Amino acid sequence: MTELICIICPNGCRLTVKGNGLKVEGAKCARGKEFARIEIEDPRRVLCTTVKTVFSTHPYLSVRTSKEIPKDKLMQVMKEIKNFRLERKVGIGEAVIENLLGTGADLIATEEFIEKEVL
Amino acid sequence: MKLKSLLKKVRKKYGAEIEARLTEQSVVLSGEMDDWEDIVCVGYLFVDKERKRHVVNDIRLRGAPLRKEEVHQLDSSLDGKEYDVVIIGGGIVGLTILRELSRYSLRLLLLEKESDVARGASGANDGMIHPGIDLKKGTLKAEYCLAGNFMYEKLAEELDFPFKRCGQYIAYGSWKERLLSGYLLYKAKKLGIPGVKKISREEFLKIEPELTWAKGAIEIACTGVTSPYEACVAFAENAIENGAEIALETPCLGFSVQDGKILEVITNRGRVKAKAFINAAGVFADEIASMAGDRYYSIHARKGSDLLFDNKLRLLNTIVSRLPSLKDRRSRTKGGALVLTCEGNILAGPDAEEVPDKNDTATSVASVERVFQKHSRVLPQLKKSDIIAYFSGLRAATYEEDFIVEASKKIKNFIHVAGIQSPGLTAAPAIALDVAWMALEILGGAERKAFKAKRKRIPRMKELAPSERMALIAADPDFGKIICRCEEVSLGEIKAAIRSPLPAKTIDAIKRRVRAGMGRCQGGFCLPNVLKVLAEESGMDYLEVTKQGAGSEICLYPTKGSESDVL
Amino acid sequence: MFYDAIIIGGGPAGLAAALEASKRGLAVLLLEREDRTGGILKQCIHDGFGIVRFREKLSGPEYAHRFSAGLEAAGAEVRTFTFVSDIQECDGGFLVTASDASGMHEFRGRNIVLATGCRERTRNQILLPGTRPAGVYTAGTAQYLVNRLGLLPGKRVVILGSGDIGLIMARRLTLEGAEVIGVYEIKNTPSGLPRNIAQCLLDFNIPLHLCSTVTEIHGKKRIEAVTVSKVDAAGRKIPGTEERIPCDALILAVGLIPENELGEKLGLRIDPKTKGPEVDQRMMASIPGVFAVGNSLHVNDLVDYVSESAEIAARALSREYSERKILKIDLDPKFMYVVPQMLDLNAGLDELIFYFRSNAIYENPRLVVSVDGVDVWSRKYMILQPPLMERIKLSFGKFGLNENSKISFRIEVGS
Repeated sequence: MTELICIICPNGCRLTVKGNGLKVEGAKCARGKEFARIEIEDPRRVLCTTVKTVFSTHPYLSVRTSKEIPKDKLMQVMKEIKNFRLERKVGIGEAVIENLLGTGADLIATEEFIEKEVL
Repeated sequence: MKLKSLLKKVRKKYGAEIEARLTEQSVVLSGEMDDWEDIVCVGYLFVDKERKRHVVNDIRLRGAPLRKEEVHQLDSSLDGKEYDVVIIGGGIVGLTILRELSRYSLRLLLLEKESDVARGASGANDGMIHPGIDLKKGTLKAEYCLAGNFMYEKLAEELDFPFKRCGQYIAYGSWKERLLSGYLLYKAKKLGIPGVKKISREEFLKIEPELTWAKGAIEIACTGVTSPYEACVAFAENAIENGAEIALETPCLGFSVQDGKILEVITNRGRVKAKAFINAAGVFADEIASMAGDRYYSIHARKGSDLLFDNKLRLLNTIVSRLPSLKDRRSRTKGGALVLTCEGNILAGPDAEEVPDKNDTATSVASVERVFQKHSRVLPQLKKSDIIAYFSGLRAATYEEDFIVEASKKIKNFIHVAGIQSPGLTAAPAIALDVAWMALEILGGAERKAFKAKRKRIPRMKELAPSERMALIAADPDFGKIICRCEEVSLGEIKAAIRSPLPAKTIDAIKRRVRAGMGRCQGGFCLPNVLKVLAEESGMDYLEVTKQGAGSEICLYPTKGSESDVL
Repeated sequence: MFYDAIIIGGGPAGLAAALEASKRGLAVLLLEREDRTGGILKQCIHDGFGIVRFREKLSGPEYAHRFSAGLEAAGAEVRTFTFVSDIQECDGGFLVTASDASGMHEFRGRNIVLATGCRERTRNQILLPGTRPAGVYTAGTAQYLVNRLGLLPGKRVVILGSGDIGLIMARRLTLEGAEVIGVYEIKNTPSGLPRNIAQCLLDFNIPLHLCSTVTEIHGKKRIEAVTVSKVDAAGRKIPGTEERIPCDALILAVGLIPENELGEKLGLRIDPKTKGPEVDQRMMASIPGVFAVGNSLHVNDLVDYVSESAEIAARALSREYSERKILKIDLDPKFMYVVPQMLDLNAGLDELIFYFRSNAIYENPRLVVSVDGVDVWSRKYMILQPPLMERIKLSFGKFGLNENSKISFRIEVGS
């Protein structure tokens, strides 16, 4: 038996999973049951972070993975992008790194570049 | 002095074996005891009623941790330099002396161990310019306090720092308290304090309508309020404009003394020669005296905590307190008042607590509670949730509880300005006049020079009329960019602080000069932007920016790889 | 020129209000203090925004972009780096004084929408004693330092308070290579959402200590350690439970306060519970023509509701209002608050949105609304808890309300 907190929506249902994720209790919706089954077998998360750029007006660009990646790869990805430098300006939603560590997920920009420095 | 009977008393009351010996200028106590309060009480026990000797209290607190050695940057930027006067300590006392001496053709250097001026008691007090009504006639305190009080208008005008002669009201709420108020009138007459009178409930409520419990009050018209660190910065900047130098993060580590004369002061930035040395080191004055081999008094640190309230409260117009009960009157502080600061915040403070560690400015829940409780008796409308900041300062008290302002009897070119606790802020300009004369005497006089008495402060957008704001922004658009939202501080003001005669080099220095981060969010919103501006204006890396000098870095690491390969 | 509405603040609330109002053909001016719109969302790079509205888990900047992208096309005038210093009532509306790099400006508008957001409580507001070293920051400040300036306050971090930003920062700092020693919460339940406990703390094995708080800060120039202590049910420290924890940063996530200095200066009536203005069903405050939306109205848990309250106000904007007939809503003490606090009988009474929080955790409670002593509506909940804001939609049109009607909300527990 495993106890989980569902992270699909703000309700945060407390789930009880029995027998390899086949029986899920406590979920208010079907998405919660699905979450529990995946969480037991292959937990995945979206990674949100920043990458360093070479542009002084916007030295750190916020990015996320285009889809969920295996939870145990989070720290590996962080290590991978620690010394990465973004050298071209991308638009919001565009890939900064494709197929991140072979996960099939891209690292995409989640904000527009600031073109001119105000402060 | 009857040392034997006093020692017996100590043995009986505290169960402690201590030693006492007399020297020419002092009675020196030594030994070890378990309680700091007791050690301080023993010190007071040995005070010479005739004031022939000072108490040097070297009784150690058993089990007290050793003071942590402070680490200082080492360089040779001052090594081999020569001055006429070196002042040790950049509080209000050292700075008023520096400015006073800058009228003359003298090479002046002030050493301050912290990252900015006014980091000690001068920066952590309520800003009151006292009349000294609670002081004893004939003391240096009473004399300098009243003299200093009347110097403030002119100084504030010349040096462009805030000062309001707002008056002070000591209110009473019962006939018992009213009886005590007669004593104040008597004291005022005896000390020669003008403008002290009794006013009716109706008259008082016109001035302070929120204090509805009051049955009447004593008005002290000559009490004023200033912004203590703005005043300090003003004296410092004007002295610099007149050729004086200030070395920050530069402690005095020792002296080389020969034939009863100091030749050099030893600092972390090298050895500096001078003809005269002035000890204005606040709580550390006795330690500086000791370095020169002339320690004949000791300073104990008495902590006081102040509370600062949100400036949106509209509850107070002047300075008020309530007559203390007989019980309260025994404590060694005036008991603090509620002060409407120059910036429009209500400040409540301070209490008094003896502390063994001269670096201990930590606040405690107990003192915050104590100060709050005391003042909510005066202004019950105050809410704890409106407290936006609280801080503690250390008063530099001698056991005689009076100032020491005199040339050394042992060292020919050394002047002590010690034990300057409250009302030190008020007294400092008057003290500075006397100390300047003492210094000139040592130097054998000096010529007056073309002295620029006026100094302009950085304009405050928040306080200006729209047309004045317009003009400033037209001259420099940075004054239209507001960085600190709570106090409405513009980028222009912050840059001006960084480029001022005594450049602000830390986040705190900017905060104290232009109030960015001083408001209700306490820098929550503006800190990162101020950090950015400070780094860029002074050519620092973000990681080098500190709150208050080396060792107080805002952030310790970069998130990403450290190579700086920005285009 | 008179704008139909001047919106103060370009965060999620202001953006939503500006977009909705300009789509409706109103002349809108949006004033933003910072160099770009987006407000705090600019630094909220984590995902989870827009779950309700877009059925997507966007990051903060993406969510803001959904609104800001179409704003100018919809006809709204946006001025950034513009600081509003004063709002006054004037003939026919309001006079807003603001400054920017080009000078001082006066703008006139028939309506004001306050979308000024909230600020974080500081160490001073929770009377946290000790020294005042560098290394002690609120979670939002730390978030700016980490996400926008690429700076890590420290690598051995203690977090005080289990509010959502604190939890988010616990994960963020861990990802960037810091060790989060623990999250300390004075209450006996977490303040943040359960999903954030799961994905920010449990995912990274960060311990959460309930009934514990920081009771002293140590370190002269930079923070060296904190003392943490257990507390009793009344929040008082239990002597003997002190523990000294060496650290190089202390992050505070101890609550948010709506920013209402402009509204207070205008003389708006403030709800002591929400710390925001009291509003009616249109989000109109005690002065007609002044609206309060988003986090300046009350601290929301989800940005989706911030935008929603702004749109409700935007839809109600008009050049003139009929005289108001106000009915206050009675609450039982089990509520922390309900927004709106009052109804204007002369404004629309159907499909009204209410936001509320309970003051404690209640299991299987029922929310009951009554009019003149008669229960007219109720809903069962599995659980009500303070961190989770609840939202309901109610129609009062059919109840024939008049000035003497009595509307009450209550929470029933048990049986």
